[in-house]
Amino acid sequence: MLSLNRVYPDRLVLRIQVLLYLLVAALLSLLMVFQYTNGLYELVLTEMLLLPALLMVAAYLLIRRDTTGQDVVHTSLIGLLALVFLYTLQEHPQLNLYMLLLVPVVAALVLPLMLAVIVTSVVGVLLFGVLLMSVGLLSSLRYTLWFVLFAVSVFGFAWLTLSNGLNMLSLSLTDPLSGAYNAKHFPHRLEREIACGEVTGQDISLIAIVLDDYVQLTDLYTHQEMSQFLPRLTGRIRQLIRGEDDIFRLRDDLWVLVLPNCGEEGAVVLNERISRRLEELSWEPMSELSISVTAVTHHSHETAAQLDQRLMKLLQKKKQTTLQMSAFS
Amino acid sequence: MNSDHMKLHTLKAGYLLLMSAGLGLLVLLNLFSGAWLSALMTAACVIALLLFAVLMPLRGRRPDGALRILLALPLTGVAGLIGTASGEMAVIWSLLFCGLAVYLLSFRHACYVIPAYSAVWLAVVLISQPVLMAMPVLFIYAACAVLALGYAWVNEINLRNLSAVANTDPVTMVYNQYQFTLDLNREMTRAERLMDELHLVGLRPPLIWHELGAEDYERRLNDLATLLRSCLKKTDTCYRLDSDDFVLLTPHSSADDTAAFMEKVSAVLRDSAYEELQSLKLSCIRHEPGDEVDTMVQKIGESLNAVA
Repeated sequence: MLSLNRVYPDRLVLRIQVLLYLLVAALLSLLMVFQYTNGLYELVLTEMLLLPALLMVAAYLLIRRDTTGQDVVHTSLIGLLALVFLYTLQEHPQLNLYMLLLVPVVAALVLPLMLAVIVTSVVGVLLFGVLLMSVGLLSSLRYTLWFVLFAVSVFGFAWLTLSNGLNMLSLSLTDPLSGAYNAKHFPHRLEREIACGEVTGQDISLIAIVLDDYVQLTDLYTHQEMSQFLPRLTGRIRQLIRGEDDIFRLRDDLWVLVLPNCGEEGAVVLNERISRRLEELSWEPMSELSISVTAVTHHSHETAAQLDQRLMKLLQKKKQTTLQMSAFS
Repeated sequence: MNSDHMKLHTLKAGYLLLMSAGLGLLVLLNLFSGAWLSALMTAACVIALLLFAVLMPLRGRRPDGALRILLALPLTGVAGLIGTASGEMAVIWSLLFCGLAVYLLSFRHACYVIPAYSAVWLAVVLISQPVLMAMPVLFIYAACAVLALGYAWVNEINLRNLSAVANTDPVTMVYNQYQFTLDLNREMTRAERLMDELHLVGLRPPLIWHELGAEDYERRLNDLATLLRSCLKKTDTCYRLDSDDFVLLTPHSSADDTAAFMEKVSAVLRDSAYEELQSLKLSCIRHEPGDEVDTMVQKIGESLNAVA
């Protein structure tokens, strides 16, 4: 489903959503001050419900630091926003109608697009019902139509912008954080290198480098520190290999080197050298770096997918052995 | 035309038709309530939107960038100001103006246009609407304007970051010049180490294609790239350079292999539906030890100039 999370990095989405709620809270506070000075006390009292809700959701997002799977929280908040304005709509139809336009704007930024459309459609139906009871059929139809036209435009803009970002993302073969090639490029490159190896009769090896405790590292160090560390790690690995070798980052914690014209012996030697060198180097502000390195060499008639699968199985086996050893020690 | 473009045109056409239908209903409502002037203005908008939808997205055509900016922005802006002055719900056009400005203009230009429009709009609101009514309108406008600009800023940075790591040409979906320099560098290192041969086959799209509209030109480039890709072996790669020239990288191929490959490409082009491709000349250069990437790019450009 098209959403901000698919186009922007998680941390950016988190900032956008938190800032959005804080902005709405700040503007609402100003509006309430104005309404209070004009004697609209009932409106102020109802709207006061929204301020703590907006601030609490912003705080919740900041504490959780995870923007995925929060649809229920966002939908509840948007629902509350809509209910508050719909509740006071009968008494002040024109005043609160403008406020309801906030629903599609906020929904487009915090919810997956399809869910945002559904939530806004429900609010549109409720709006029509409430208006029907207070201003008559013609006016309620007119106001609801304006609301629908506005919502359609907001979702149209959101769709176009997100599709544009998604298209750009699909053109990239490089992992923006580490500077290594991404997982999308890996099977193509491996297939091509295997084909070249078959033509020249030379071996191809893969070396997998797993960053142990990656999750703990992301918890311990800030985003800025991690975004400096990842390209540094890629750069240092690159210094240890030849110009014709390639580096891929297949998962958050997994780098794979594709080594054309490198047999089993060469891979084992390089494996040891990488392991030793990376653990020797200083990784300020990190105290030490713990990595696991595994190498495989291509067998004749083995496809790229089979070689990749063999590497992953080896990694899994190595991880299990390490866990068993640490349990015994 | 690829499916993404078709989907985009379908969405744009759908949006325009939906807006026309909604505004059409508003015309009827205005007629029922005797608001003749509003009905007339809205009907004019409906006709304009329908005409635009029929002429552009429904026919799969993309409007010229300047045309979109010159027509859509002033129309929405004026409609918003008229709505604001009349105290009607048509004020929402001014809210859409912010989104449209961000979508059609660059971020830098939107930063000038939105505050300038907002200043005029604010004056109109304060003059024409009672203070009690003005506040919620100001609230929602401020939210829309700030969010539109904030979102545009984030989007600008994100797209800039993404374009810095884009390795694929969006029109033809073959690799771009950035990836070409990376791959060529690696293949040259390997060729020198293995004492192997490395050839580059170049191809310049027909010059007559430059006279076509952007959309036709891109479609033909895409068709040409598809033809070229169909000729490649597993070890070969196709690239589109910034100059629009195509380069086919054929590692581990001798001069004879490359000549046979060029003959194969020429045969495929001769069978092409485009007449101008049937007589297209290919050029070939060989990597010499000590050549740099820039030298190779220059050499392929010169050889294409020579055969063009």
